[in-house]
Amino acid sequence: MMCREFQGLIEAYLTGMMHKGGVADFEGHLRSCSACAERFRKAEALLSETGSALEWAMPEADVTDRLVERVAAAAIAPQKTWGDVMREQWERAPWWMISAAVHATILMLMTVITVATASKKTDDIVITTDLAKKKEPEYDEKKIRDIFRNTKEVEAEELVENPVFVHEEVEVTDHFETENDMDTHTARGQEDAISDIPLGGTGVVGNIGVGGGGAGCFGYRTGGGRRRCVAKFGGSRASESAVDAALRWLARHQEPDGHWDTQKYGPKNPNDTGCTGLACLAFLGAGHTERAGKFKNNVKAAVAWLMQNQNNEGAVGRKEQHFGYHHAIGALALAEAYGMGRNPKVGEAAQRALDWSIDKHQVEYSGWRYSAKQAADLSVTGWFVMQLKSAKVAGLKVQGKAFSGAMAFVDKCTTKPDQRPANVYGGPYDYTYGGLCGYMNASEKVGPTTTSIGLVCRLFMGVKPREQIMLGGAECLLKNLPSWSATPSYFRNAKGGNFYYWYYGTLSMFQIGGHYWKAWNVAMRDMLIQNQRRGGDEDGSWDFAGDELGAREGGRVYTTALGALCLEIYYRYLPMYGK
Amino acid sequence: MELVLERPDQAARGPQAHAGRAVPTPSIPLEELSDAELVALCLAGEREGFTVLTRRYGATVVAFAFSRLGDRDRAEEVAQESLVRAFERLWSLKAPRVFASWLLGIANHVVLQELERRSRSVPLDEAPEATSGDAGGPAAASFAGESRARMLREVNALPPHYRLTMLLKYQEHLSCEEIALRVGVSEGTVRSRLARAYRLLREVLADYEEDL
Repeated sequence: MMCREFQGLIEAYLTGMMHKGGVADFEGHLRSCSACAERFRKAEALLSETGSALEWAMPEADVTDRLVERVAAAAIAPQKTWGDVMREQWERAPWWMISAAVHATILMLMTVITVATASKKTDDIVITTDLAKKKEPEYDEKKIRDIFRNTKEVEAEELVENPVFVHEEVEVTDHFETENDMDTHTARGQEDAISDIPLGGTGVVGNIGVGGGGAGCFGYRTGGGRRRCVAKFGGSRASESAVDAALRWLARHQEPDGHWDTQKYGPKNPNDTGCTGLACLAFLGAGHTERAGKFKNNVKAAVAWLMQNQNNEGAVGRKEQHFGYHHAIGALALAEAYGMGRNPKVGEAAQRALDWSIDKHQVEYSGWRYSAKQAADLSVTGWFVMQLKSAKVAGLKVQGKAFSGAMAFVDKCTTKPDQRPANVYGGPYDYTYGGLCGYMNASEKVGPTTTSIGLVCRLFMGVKPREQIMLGGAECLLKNLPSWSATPSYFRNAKGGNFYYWYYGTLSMFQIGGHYWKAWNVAMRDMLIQNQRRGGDEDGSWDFAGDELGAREGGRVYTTALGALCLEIYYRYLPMYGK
Repeated sequence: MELVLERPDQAARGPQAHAGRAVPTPSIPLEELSDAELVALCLAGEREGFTVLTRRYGATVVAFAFSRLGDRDRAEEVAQESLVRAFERLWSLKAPRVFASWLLGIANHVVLQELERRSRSVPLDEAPEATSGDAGGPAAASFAGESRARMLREVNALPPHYRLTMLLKYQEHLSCEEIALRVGVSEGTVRSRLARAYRLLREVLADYEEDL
């Protein structure tokens, strides 16, 4: 801890506002730095003297009894009548007020008499008119959605002779203002986890490291930091407006108990746990936690629902089809909610979910699938890897063997340089560099979606974005940029919307950066903004193709949550390597 | 501890009865009710509620007035006047949980009137230093050490919520949890207010702190 930071925390320490880890750091610095120790002693002494002065000002104990008697005598005991009150007021009133009251009364009487006399001489005239119905504003679908107020440009250097000072009443907040304008520091995530330092070490666990890398931090999801990231990494006012609209749609369609009922918005079968997790992640991604942000009640309810649906062993979710997805996404949401909100109960639930993922569900030395110990697939494994990473960043205890197994499985699914898989979707591909991924191994069901999952897994486990194997995958994604009608579908050659691919592709291409990100970002951002629904109940959501895997299961809740998560990319995770 | 909320009995209430507010029917000692609950009781005509509020904050208001006026007898009179005004205007209090801050605001107003009255009645050459806004009473310097008077003045100049939190902590010796229960906010909010009050005090008393 630096001296400057220490001095800014003295008041928080004295009032018991710091968390355990912070207290340990603070006290460590207090012991090691004599200058800060002296500063701390002076602050304590000042507050002690102030307390003594306040105590000194207190009266003798019997004052209270006297006051009670006097107040009762003066105000409480005598039951004043209306006449008493009027007489009192009359006696207190100055002579000019009495005069004014008398004159006003006379004037009023004269007016009443005059009007009454005049009205007898005229016939009543009744005018009827049709009041025009208030016209509902028509929704202009071409108009760009913009939640930001228009601001007036002013010349900063221009001198004004008579400046106008505007004094606005401001509400006093109960919390410290922070650099990012949120009302709590915790909304930024765990400070210790933020790092732009390239991850060192050769082993998987070493690469994850204590506190995680830049990819795992919660970025700058709010306030000034968020605005800067939006500007720096390719977002826009329109993208931020789209995120806002999507979150509003999700908030409007949340059930009172906190979950989202997916069957109301498309799917035949319920997939509520996973979609509740995704919706919760969308709110968290924009900086809304259980304690801060305008959607904090939505987050709180969603987190509570996920915790209610966690069994004694730690598994999160109802018994829904493809359970592995539901648990992984629900547990990922809990880990992020804990990382940002620091609610110990959520932390305890997230830890149990994590332990269940590793001890009960993961295949030894491999990944995950729908049910416990079932032979792994890359799609489910991707969500579990994100859970491990978020848990690590949130400060939960993640067993190293989980990462080792995941990395081994991702390697198994990835093509070597010049390897030509037997079965591919989409294309064309350049096999020179390898780095393409298949569904359960490197030879079958290879396509851009699985490749994007492999890229994200590697990035989250510490592989550098510009390694050859990563660029091989990035080239594949570059040839399959997001397109509303022509993106390769999940595992088919059919074309259509593919939110699943767009989400993983966005996460990975953002970290890889350079021309890969520029091309991907423009395609993804503009496509989502242009195709977001406007007007009516579906305002802010995204449509989905009927046969698209994922959207078919999760419906509008799924597409809207993933769409928002894509457009939150600019601030959701900081780039691993400063760009 | 559970309160049963019911409508006030309109017929049996005094002139301050306030229709339409839910009133707690105490099945527990009045002393254990929060400020907001006591205010609701008063508005329903249960005047014992105001007696409890007077016991709760009377000494604090006297101390506040004393730190501004430097005269214990006059401070008691000001406190009495403030409490009577508060009782008469209780109906106008929109957020009952801020009763204590509101009461101190009334006391501040009465103190200012008293200081103004003094400045008019005292000949110019004997007049104390000008007092305005939340500045402390000039007499403070004469009745105690200058530093103590200055500290009291700076505490009085704090924003209302922070000032109240300081007074409850150091004059009533309440814990943060007790303050939270009394004023109807979370414990975290109390700690936050206290931390802010400390910071503001350290800023304005920086030179004094340096010499400690």
